[in-house]
Order: sequence, then C-alpha cells, then structure tokens
Amino acid sequence: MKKSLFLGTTMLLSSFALTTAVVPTAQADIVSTADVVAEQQSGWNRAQLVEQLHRDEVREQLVRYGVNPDDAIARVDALTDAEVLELTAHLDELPAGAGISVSTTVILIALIIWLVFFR
Amino acid sequence: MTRIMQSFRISLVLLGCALLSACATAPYQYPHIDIQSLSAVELSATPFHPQEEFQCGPAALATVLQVAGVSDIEPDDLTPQVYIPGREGSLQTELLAATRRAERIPFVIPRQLDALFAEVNAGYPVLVLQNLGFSRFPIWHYAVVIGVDPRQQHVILRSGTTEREVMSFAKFERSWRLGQYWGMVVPPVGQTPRTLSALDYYAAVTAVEQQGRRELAAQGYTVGIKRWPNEAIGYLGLGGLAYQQGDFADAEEHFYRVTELQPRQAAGFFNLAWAFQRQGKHQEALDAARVAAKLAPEHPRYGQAEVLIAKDQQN
Repeated sequence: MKKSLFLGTTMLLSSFALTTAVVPTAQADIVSTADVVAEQQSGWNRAQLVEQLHRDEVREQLVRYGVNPDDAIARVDALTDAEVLELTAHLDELPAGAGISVSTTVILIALIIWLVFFR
Repeated sequence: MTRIMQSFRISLVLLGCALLSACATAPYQYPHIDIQSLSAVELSATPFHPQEEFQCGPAALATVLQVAGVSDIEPDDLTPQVYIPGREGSLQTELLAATRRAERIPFVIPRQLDALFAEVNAGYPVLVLQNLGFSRFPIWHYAVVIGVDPRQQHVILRSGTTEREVMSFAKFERSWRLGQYWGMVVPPVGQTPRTLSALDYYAAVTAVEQQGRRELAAQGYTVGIKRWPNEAIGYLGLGGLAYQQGDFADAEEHFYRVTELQPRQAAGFFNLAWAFQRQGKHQEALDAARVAAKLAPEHPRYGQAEVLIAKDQQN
C-alpha cells in the first residue's frame, strides 16, 4: 500500500517534471544568476533540465549502496543540478576517498614483495 | 648482503618506473615551482581527527569545517551525510554538498600546486583527494594539507591516523596528480579563497543560492563585490535575491549597476526590465527589454525580452 502510494507520487511528480521540460526556455521572469554564470563558464544553457527522475535515481543508488533512506533524501537535496547529473552517470565509478586500512596496506606490501622476489 | 639490497633497490626502482609510466600524463609541476617566492607555513592550530577505518572523508571535512568556524561539527555528524557504505568511502561531490549543509561555501581550487600553496599560505587548509595506490589499483584517500616547507621541499598534512604527516613534494604530487589535483577550501564566512577566478567563485556561490540558502548566498555576493568591485555578477546575484523576495526597487538598483558595469551584456538589461515591470514602470521596462533584445537577438531568452514584457503588460 505504502509502496504503491510512493510509486504513484513519484510518477505524478515526474510527469510534472516532464511537462516543464517541454515548456520553451523563454520564461516570463528574470534569469537566475546561476544560469548566467553557467553560460559564461561554458556556454551551457540549461537545456538539460534536471528532472525529479534524476534525483530519484541518485537517491535510489545511494540507498542501494547502504545509505539510510532518510539520509539519502537530505543528501540528494543538498546537490546542485549539475552535481545530480554527474552522479546519475557515474556514482559507481567516481573515486570514493576512504583511507588506508591495515588490510590494504598489507596486501599492497605483499604484492610488491611477490612482484620483486618471486617473479 | 649489500648486493642483494642493491638489486632489491634497483628492482624496486624499475617496478616504480613501470607503474608510474603506465599512468604518466601531464608533467610534474613541483620541479618548476619557484621555491624562492614561497614562504614556509604550517597551520599548526588545525584540529586533528584521527580517522576510523574508511572514514577519512568525514574526518578531513570536519577538520576544514572547524577551521571555517563550524566549531561544533564532528566527523560522526558528517558520516551520515557523506559516507557510502557500499563504496567504503565518500565522494567529492558529497563533501561539497555537506559543506553547504553546514552553512559554508566550498570552493574547488585550480588544479595547480602553486594554487594549493597559495591557499595554505592564506591560512586555509586544503582538503585534497589523493590516490596512494596506482592508477590501475587506486587507494583513494582524503587528507588536509596544512603546511609547506619550501626549503626541505615538504608538504605537511593531517592524514588518516597521522597527526603530522610529512611528504616530499615529489611523493605528494604523485598522489595528488593521481587524484586529478582535486582540492577544496572552506573559508570562514566573509572571506574569499585566494586563487579562484571571479567566475569560479560566483559559480560556487550560485550553488548555495540554488539550494535556497539565501542568506549565505547574499554574504557570498557581498564579499565577492568587495574582492572584485568591477565584476558585475555579484550585483546580479544581490539583485536576483532581492527580486525573489519581492523587493523590486532594491533589485532595480542592483540590476542597474550590472548594466553600468557590463553595458554590452544582455542579462543585466533583461533582469532590469523585469524589476521595472514588477513595479509598474511599464515604459522603462520596455526600454530595458529592447536593449536586451538588441544585444543578444539570437538568444532564446534575451532575444524575446521585448515580446515577453509586452505580453506581460497585456495580462
């Protein structure tokens, strides 16, 4: 029940997101500073609208990687559109800084010794 | 005995060369650093959080946030914001996002060793991504650069469980280069990083604004204007914030300043037109819109400025 409600909401939300994507870019209001900066930086105009779907996808990936679902919502909220796009495509391959645990160090030393002496 | 040692050393060097050449890309920067111009610095007051296993992201981030005045934040508070259990680590993007959640603006510095040194010299410890392994077998690691010793050619870091790690320029640059020279600084509120261009600075501020952290964004724009008084984007930002809050007269003033500083850019005139329009100054709105359209006739938005304003006036 809860799940179908969630699914329904998601579909409803994403249908809104899709509609906005169809609306022509000339909006009857000021241009955001972010758009002006992005345009000056790379000629990137925001044809690539980030849709709710993209944000949902990143959130689901985070949860799949073991992040608490509530935390995942707050974490995705803290990302900019450009960051969401980056993570949608590469979350599984971007460097994840971790630090050296003892085990990796031992394995590395063992590997070097093996390469040097036993090959 | 010495012969064995020697052959061991030679084979180690050969192995190192083989692994290094496999991933060699851009030439090293450190041999070209002007050591004479560098002064020794060590930000020894930087706090130290010995990381627990895999937690160098939260630990390094807590370190730079505390220096930036977020005094009550601890690595444990940041773990649920940045750590990904399935990856046993944290992503750079999420370190930036968590910084914004702590009400500070994160800045990614230029991918240059001298930029890194300049930031440390300005008093900002730099959170860096290192690869301590090889490009094919990466060991990703976050550490915080807190000092430079140009005479000894050393970099000093808070790293992992080591409170004061000393690395040679060569060794450090190898690890940082494999991390694509990625580093971020978090200045205290009211201060700007040393090495960013105005445009890159403002890009970081707009990221904060996009998330609705308006007060923080306003501070960012105000400080930016002090640093780059002839750069229009800061005024564009303040104008945008005023406009969003319905303070159209204030917005008009800021946007007007933008058009003074950048008389050939359409964005200022376009926004100025809307600030006039919202105050019922219809003729001024049309005039400004006409200039915007003339400056960028092909632009999907500015090119339509006059049409849009005219349409709005009919409603």
